[in-house]
Amino acid sequence: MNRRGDGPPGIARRALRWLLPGPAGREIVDDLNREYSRLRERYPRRVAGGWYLLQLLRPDTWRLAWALRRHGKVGGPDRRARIGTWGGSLSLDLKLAWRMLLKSPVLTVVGVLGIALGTAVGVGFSVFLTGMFFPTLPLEEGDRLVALTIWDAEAGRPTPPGLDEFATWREEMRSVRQLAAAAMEDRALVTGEAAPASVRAAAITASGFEVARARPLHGRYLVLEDELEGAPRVAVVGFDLWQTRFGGDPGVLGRSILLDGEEHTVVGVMPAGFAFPHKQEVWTPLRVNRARHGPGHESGLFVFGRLASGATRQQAQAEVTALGLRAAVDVPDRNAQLRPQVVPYTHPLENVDGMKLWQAAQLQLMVTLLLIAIAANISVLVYARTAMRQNEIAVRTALGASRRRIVSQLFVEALLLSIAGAGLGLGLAHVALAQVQAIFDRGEGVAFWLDYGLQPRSVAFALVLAVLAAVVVGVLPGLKSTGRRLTAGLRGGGASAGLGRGWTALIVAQVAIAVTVLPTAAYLGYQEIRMGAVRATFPADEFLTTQLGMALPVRPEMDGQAYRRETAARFAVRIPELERRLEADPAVVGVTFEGRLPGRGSAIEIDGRAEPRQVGSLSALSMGVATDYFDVLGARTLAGRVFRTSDVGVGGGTLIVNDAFARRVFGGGDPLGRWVRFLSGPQAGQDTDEAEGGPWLEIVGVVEDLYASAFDRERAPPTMYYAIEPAELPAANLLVRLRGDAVAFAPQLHQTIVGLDPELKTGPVENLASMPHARYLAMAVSALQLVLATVLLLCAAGIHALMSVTVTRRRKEVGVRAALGARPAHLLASIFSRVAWQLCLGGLLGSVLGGALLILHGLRRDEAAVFVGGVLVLMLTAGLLAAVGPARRGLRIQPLDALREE
Amino acid sequence: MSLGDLQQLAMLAVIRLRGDAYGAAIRDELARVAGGSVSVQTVWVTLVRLEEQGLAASHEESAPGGGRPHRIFRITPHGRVTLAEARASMARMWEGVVQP
Repeated sequence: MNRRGDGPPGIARRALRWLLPGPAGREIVDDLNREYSRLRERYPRRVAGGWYLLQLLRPDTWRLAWALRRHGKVGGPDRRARIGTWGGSLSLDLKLAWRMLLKSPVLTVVGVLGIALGTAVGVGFSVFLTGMFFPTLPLEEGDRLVALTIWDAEAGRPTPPGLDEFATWREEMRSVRQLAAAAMEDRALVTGEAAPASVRAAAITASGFEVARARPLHGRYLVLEDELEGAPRVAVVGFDLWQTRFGGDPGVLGRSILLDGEEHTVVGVMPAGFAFPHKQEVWTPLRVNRARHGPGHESGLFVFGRLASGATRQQAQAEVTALGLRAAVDVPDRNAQLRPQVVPYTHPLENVDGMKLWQAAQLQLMVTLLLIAIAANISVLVYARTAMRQNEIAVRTALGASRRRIVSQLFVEALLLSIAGAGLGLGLAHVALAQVQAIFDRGEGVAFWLDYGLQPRSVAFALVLAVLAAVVVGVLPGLKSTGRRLTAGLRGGGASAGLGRGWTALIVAQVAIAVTVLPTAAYLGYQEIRMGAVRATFPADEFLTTQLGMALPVRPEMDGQAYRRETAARFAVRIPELERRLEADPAVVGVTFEGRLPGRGSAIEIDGRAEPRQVGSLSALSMGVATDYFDVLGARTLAGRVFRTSDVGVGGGTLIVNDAFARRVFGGGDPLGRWVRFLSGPQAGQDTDEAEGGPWLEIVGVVEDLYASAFDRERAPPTMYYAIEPAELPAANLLVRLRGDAVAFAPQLHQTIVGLDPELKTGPVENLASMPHARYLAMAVSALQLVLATVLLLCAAGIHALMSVTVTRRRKEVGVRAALGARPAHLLASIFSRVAWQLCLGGLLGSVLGGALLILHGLRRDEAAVFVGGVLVLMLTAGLLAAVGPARRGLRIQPLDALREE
Repeated sequence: MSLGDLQQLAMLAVIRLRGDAYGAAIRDELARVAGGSVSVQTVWVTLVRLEEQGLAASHEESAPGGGRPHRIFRITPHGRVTLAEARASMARMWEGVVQP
């Protein structure tokens, strides 16, 4: 018989217990303990204890340990039967989980929606983040591609390399091979019978195709000889363009096309998916000409190449830094502040810099915070429901179910919920990404490495999120509910979830998390939207727009100039006739045109004096407009005048700028009388007699901003307007202002155009208000509202659930107080007071943390207070409203019924 | 299939104990009837091997009086056949053997 406290050595006992797991292991250790007791009857403690310790070293003990771990338990059914048993219990868990989810439809719907939202946001954002910052280029050894840029240390911004830098790097670098350069811009394409269209073109060195290592589908790509001055103008077209403009005709090789009025011969067609270097549709040779584009010229090249075999980006950086230092010594005035950089290929194309990485980190933080808030809310909901199942859990425990068994069943319930939510979330993400892709496809185009479709890794990511959510939502509440308090509750005559400080902490945490997270999430979402959101300040819904151009058949004897003359002449006749016919219609208010002349891009120089001097290179939007443009749009003239007929053409030499241009460029000073000229690209500006830019243009008027950010006046794009004759444009945008329903007029507009002249080609007729940027804004705002509303709903649902449990647990107390004569108002105050101070405490904590988070993001205290205050009011309102239902149930408690309950 | 001595003794102990053949009891039976002391681990390893070979099976049963559950062993039909064959083999080997 064991003397009291005379058991085997505790450390050895615990070690054996760990070594020999499971019920069989427990029985074996019990047998060893019994044997120890027998020994202890005959031998001193140290002998028996020594024997016991030696059991740890016996080979048989380790054989048993291995057997127990290998088989899961000693004996029992064979492995197939064990798997069958496991499968049987899983099947049972699934059935039970399904019944429980049906039994709590509100929780199920709220939980599925919450997890779906979190999954959609998480998956959708991961697709963007991966595509932008960590893309996999779908090219052979795509990870070896790099780009070369220049950082202007004085200006604090990147500046694109010039032809001089490119030529130097190409000659001297060893760590980057096949260096190539491209100048990318939109050009007007005219082909045969089809309407003129704007295409994304690149003037690229022949080495660019070698870098991409792509073979043409038909014909050839550009070669070195194409780059030589005087070589015939050739072009390579992309697959999609070949399909839409040439009907997929293999006979396209040798056909002529016009790009900005210049004739090119098609020599090749690239395969589907090739849009190198960014999202291009047409490629022409880049003619490197040092004499024409010497040092200091702003030519806006994208320079890229492949790392040499065995070379690293760091080695390339060291090499290009050394070249930069030498250039700084050779030409210190220009190069002293320039720092050449070797960066990942996609970064210059997507304007990825420190600021954008910071933005991405912000978005990641917003998404993470939202997911945490969602998971916490659903976890509280499930915990509240689990708390109501304490009796069921207690009975199951008494019948022999282990804690692991109960928690695993709760995990299966949560997993079913989260997989349903993940599936719905993937569907939402797929639809949203498809919408985004469609918007970008119709607008700026999508980079060739981006695929907004759901990839297998997206599905795997969603499954990981689902499992994590199931752990948070199912396992944690399950562990809490099956802890030691359960046993204590059983002994006390009733299972209890254990209300008390833990419960209070849960409610406070629930509110605090929401108030901390939501203001920051709302602010970050608002920032993202306002940066991209641009809306028209004029009634865009009253306008129809379409692209218009003459597409005369190209005769063999025609050269480019002859074609342009004949086209312009025919267009000049048709335009006034078209205007007359349209304006005769009573539904039409006005007709006007806009377009862009070749060589007039966004890079400009400014001076206000008669003698030109270099002030600095800037960029702004530029647009050619008809003389009646501002009148038709109803734009106010803020200073100076609008265009006259005499302003049209080369001899005109005038500009009108918008208010944003005047504010940003001249700091609010008077822009009238100042002079501006466009800096031309390497293949533009042919008609000027100036070496480095276009003619100087005088600013004669200032108009209000026609497009502005929906949220921030300072974000209106600075824009310059020059007067054009629509007929001189390769492709002009026709704008028609209408009375009444503009969209209904679209078929009639199309008919009027084609009825005038069969050679007059038109693109799709669209309502100006439905253009891509407006759709993006609408979608982004809706998405943000949906996310915030769902998180608020989840918070309210969580508080409602917690309040319900609180009221239920206090039935007896409320019944006793009612029996003792407490007035309903006092009872209500008693129920509400607790939830009110819990809400206030959580709100206070959340306000402090949320405010600090916003101030860290650069907001002023008063701005942070607005965001936090708004969310706090919403949360408190939602919480109090959520408490109304349970409180009313509490008032309806019958004292006798409550007193009878055990 | 050949059975080791200890395996046979363990199987016989299980049969002798009828429905009460749990680890400690089997060990005690071996010590009482066969003589000699066998360690707890050795008995259990033997029982595990018998189960792996399909000669024995076990199930968990609550101990009378509310004690901890035991794992109760029984000999399978295949085990009984094997045991009988082992006994017959031993008897054949003993035939004609005269011990000095």
